[in-house]
Amino acid sequence: MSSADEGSAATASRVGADLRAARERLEWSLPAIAAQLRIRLPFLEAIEDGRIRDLPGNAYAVGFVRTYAQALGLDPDEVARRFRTEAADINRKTELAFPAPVPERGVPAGAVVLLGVVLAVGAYVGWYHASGNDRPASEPVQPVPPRLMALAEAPAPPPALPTHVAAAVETPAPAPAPSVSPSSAAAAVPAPGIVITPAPAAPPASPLAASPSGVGPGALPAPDGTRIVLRARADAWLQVRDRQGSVLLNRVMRNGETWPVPTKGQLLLTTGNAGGTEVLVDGIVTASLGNDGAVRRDLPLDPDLIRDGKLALPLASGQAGAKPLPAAKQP
Amino acid sequence: MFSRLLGLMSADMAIDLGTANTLVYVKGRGIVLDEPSVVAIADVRGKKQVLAVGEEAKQMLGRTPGNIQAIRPLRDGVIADFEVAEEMIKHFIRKVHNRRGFASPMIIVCVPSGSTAVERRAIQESAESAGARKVLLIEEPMAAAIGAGLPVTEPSGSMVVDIGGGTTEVAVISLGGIVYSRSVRVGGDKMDEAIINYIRRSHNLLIGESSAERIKMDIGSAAPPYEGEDGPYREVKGRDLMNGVPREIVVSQRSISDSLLEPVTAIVEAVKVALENTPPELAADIVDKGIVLTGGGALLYRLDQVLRDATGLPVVVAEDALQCVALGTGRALEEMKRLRNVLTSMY
Repeated sequence: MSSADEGSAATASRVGADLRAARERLEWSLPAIAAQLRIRLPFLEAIEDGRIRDLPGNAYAVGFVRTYAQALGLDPDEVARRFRTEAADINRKTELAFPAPVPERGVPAGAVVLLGVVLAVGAYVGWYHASGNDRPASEPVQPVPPRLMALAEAPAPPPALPTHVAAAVETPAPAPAPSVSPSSAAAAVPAPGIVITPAPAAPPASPLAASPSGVGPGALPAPDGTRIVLRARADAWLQVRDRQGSVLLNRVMRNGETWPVPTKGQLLLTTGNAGGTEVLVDGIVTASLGNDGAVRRDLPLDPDLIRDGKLALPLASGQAGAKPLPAAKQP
Repeated sequence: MFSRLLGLMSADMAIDLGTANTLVYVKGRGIVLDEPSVVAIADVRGKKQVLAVGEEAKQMLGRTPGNIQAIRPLRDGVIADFEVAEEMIKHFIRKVHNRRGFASPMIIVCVPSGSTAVERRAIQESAESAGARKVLLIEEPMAAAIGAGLPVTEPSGSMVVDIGGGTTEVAVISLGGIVYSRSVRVGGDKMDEAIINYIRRSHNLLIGESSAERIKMDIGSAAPPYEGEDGPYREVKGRDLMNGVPREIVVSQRSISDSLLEPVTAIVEAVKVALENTPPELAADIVDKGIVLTGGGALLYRLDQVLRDATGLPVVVAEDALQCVALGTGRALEEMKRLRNVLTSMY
């Protein structure tokens, strides 16, 4: 019981006391009034004593007070107004709380939705991890070999003769003179990255990707010990076969395409465009095979023979170094 | 979502569309309009136009020339003239919704508990065509009980008797629902009619509805005065039926109370029938708390005493008896989420 409640009860009893005084002036007994007004005696006593809590409800309490006041000949509106101002509890609106049906399922809908979202996210994360184990997160990029790093950092040499290009691959400084050292030759041949292209500034890794996929399966993995590389300076039909007649290469190579010759011994080269075909031995361009458009057949692909210039025509050998580029322009 | 946005812009309202008076409660503002449900229609070159609505139109009631009609569009609590009722609702909406928001309001209208589905639909449709965004209906006794402040949601019986202009609604309410309700088409109008008939019979004087209503309000009584008294007197003017000239007579409270015996008995009977049909547990609650009277008819002098004597139960008249229904409907509008159980729609 707070003091406010007691205060309101005390003041409400003043209206009750006034009603009681009015009733006693008329010399009426409470039971007689209760019988006349049909209001139960305990309620009338509660009104006179100011016990609002014992009355059935706000609306009824005010109604009883009005009826009682009217029966006593008092102004019901005035008495009810005083009753209202004195009893603070009465002024509160009747709380209306409708009985809500108990939800059919115990789990509230919000929790169900939340649980569903959590489950879905968990399932996705689990699936992502499970399926991610099979494949590498990313294709590892092989680091650039240190000896090529220096080349990549060096200023790009001007478009030069193919002989210069070949040399530039091996040493940063342009070395026109073909330097044949066993160590450099051995290092240059096995790696596919050494495959030489006419574009000197191209990164070492690109030729493989840039070269058309038409290269035969045998051509891609350069077997160890490959010393001869065929390169097309112009579009040229090339055929490489061994003595038994099985063909290793038989197609038109585009300008700039290369084909490392496997070390299989006793291979024969036939070219439809001798001027557009270069043979590199240990990375060094050898003498031209012939004039543009000339057909050379069954040339033995022997490194020593090639290096010695045995394959070159006596006529063509003199021109090889002089004008390779103009020849390349002709179809 | 969108309708909630519209609700912010428009003034939602609760309408007590009564036979005698229409009260409009606007959300957040309380009762803003209380006018008689009368429309005056003028016939201008064959085209009907609304001349006046409400108090102004009531002044014209029974005093109109040939081209003007003063119509009460509601009879017995339900719409009797659909078009006129629509015009009246439109007028009241426009009056309280003055320029505030271009959105149309949501409206709660109360209907008699005894009204048929067709009558409810008529009320809903006329409110909709009057420009309401959404129309919800509430049963009159429930609105009256809420407006009177009865604990309608408690598991204890409350009996409310709403005596309106056209109907008397008796209902027993518990747990937020109507357990039993009974609607009789007896109300203030029937009392006026009884007074007119009585004066015509006993004094050969024809009086108008407005005069009869004034007498009822002044000296009307549900019970005759005490022995040997005639109570206060009133003059009443009308047309003499014998010689056709206007005449004034004086009537006593005793004679008026005699004339009101029939409608009052009908109300008492309705209450008794409702009590007979009340489940015993709720009847026990009603013995303690009694009956609450609401509506304009509850203000009839000594009606509570007649009901008290007839039923043996405490009978109290609610405060603001005339506005109980509108207040209850308004409270349903204000606390719509909590009180949505009592709201219905015909669609």
